Amino acid sequence: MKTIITMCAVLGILFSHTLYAEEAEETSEKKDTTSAISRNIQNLKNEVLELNRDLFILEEDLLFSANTQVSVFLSVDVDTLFTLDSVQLKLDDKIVSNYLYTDRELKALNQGGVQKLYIGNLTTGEHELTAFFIGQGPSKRNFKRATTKVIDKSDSAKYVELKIVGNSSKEQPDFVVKVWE
Amino acid sequence: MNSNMRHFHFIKALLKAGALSLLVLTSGLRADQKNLHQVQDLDYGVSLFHFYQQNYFSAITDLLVADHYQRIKSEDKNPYLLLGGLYLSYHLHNKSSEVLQGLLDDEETNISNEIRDRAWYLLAKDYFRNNLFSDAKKALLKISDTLNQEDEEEKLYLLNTVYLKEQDVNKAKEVLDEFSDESIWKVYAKYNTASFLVQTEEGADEGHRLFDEISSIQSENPEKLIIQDKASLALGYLSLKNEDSEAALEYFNNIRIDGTETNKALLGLGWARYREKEFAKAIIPWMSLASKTASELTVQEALISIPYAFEKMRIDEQAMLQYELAIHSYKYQLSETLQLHKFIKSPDFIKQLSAGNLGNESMPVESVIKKINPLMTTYLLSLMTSDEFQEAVSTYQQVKHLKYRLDHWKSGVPALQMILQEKRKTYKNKLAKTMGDSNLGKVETLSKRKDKLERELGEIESKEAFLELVTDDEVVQLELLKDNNKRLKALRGSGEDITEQENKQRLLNGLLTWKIKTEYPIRIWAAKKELIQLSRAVADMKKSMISLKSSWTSAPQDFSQFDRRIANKEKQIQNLSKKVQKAVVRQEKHLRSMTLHALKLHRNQIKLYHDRALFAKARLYDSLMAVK
Repeated sequence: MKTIITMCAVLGILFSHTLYAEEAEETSEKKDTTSAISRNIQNLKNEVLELNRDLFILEEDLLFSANTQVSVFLSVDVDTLFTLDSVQLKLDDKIVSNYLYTDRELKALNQGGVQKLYIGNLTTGEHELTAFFIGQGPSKRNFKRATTKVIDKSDSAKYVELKIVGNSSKEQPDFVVKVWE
Repeated sequence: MNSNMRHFHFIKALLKAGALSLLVLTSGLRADQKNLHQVQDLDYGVSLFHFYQQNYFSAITDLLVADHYQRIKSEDKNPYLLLGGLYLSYHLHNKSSEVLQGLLDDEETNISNEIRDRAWYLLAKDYFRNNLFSDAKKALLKISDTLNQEDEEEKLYLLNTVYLKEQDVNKAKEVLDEFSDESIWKVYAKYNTASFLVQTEEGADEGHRLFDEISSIQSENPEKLIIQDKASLALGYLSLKNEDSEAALEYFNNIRIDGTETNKALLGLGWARYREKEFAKAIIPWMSLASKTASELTVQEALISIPYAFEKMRIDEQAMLQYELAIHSYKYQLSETLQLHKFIKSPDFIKQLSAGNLGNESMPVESVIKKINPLMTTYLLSLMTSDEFQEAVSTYQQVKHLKYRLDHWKSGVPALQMILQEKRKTYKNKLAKTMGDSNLGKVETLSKRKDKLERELGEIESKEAFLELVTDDEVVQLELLKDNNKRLKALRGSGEDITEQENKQRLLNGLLTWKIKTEYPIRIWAAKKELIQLSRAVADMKKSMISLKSSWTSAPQDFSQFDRRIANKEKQIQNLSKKVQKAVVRQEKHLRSMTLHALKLHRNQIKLYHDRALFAKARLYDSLMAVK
């Protein structure tokens, strides 16, 4: 008898979904509560998401109006020639951003993600943007490179993309600044 | 779903009853979208940057903000596919299906088959997660042939599972033929189908055959090896059930000695020997099991089975000793679980389930669980590795993150108000200065002068008054010729011969008039061109003036709008903060009650073994006394 019970217990672990009536009732009640909680949480998450979006829009409308706004993005097209440690960004010789990358962020960049490095305001006219890239280049050598670009700020928002691209002929990375209107 | 994730789910599934049910947690968004961003897709890339870090909250926000400013101009509607997938990853199922269904229902935009297929695929996963199997099936069947190999295999796995849920085993079996031979998904689907079949009378043999196929797979893949062990285990216990101990022994012996099924196999081995009345041989695997973590069900079972086998061999003293050892072990476990009970009720339990950094929105649940009180992993491992518990922990962390976000904005609102106040002050000062500038009055004068010039040029053109367009030099020359004329007239009266001078005067006059007349078209064209430029300059100045005036008049209104928006959001933050706080408390309560419930079941199980051991010991003692 004991053997059968034991066997049934083990077989039960493997195949059976059967529950005793009492347990089943309790579980179904628990499931109802769980799904009510889950629905509640979903609604809450959505409400906070929408509020978060509205607040970001409010912040941008208030702080970075379209005619003065300038945004700097960073993207990586290659991950074999250069491992990024940090980026320093200067606008008209003034440091506006210093960013140190985590492994997770680098992975996200290498997968095709684009980082919004800086958002600020600029008056119309010419401005000098300089970016310093610090990291490890080919053969794990420490690597520091700067790139400069004069951007002509018009009265519409300006988007600048800093791109790290591979240059297989030089076996070194290239740092490109692209300006989008 | 990557290999690790699948492995993780598989381990979880092992601790569950029944078939291998793999929850489809990932959104199906893939890293193969690498470097697809183009000129206008920087914001799309920013969202991906957060998505790849599993920061779904930020990724969704970025995409929604970009959508508000219409910054993503891709014509292929990729952003909506991404948004749908992000909602799915963030477990916002209603929003996910709303976005994906919207994408599929939009007849105005022609989306490619590839995007359509991915949308159906994500939607199917969404339905699947919500246990809407019929809808999931419909969505899966709409997918054509554009999915990549991995997703196609997962699609088939989902379809197989859906058919099994609907008890349509024939269709489930048909799906098995569609997998590629090496597919890991096929092994999962085959196992689930086999599990389903062995529970039916008519399909038992076929289920057995499928298990056999799995158990004889030649592979080094650790995931496949686990399923192989699981299939052998199932076959072993099925053979025991069918009273075929020899076959059972063979199947149990096929299981690896260091796998996840080892304990269950050792237990089974003992029972197979026991059935053949080979009690001494039955004790060997059970003894090996008894030396392992005592809190496991199989070990507890072995602890009480060992003395029972000794009794059968009539080695009563050893049986008595083993009963005592078992009772001691059960008592120790009951005492430890009591400590665990106290811990779960203490604030430390919740503290240990909280992520270290609330600003980090993607703390993996496993890393939190790893650091928790070791008694939890000793006694409640199956709960902790269950989807239900992990989802509850993940939800708790998400709610705490919502709280963190709201607190962040709560402290940010005064800053926004201050900035607005400063802007208002600066703007007012600047505009007042600009509007008070005397130069502004000159704009009107300039405009009038331009109008006058326009009229004059019109008259010159209509009358062809070429003399009106002479240059300063020509004016001087004309004056000179005029004076010469006067002098020649005077000389003519004095009787002097001035024929030569008169001829020269005529020639010069003619030359100048010819030059002025021939250059007239060029001059009128140049004058017109200058007038056009002047008109433009005046128009620009007027535009700037209008803009300035409009700013002057609309600025107070704009600032009031900002005031209203900030006040409105502040109120929303306060309301939502209360709701989130309640949700945090509710989720803590839910986590605690779920854990206590599992602990209660576990304790009951130990108590049961304890009572059975006590009873058996007493019975043995009585029988020994009776003999004496």
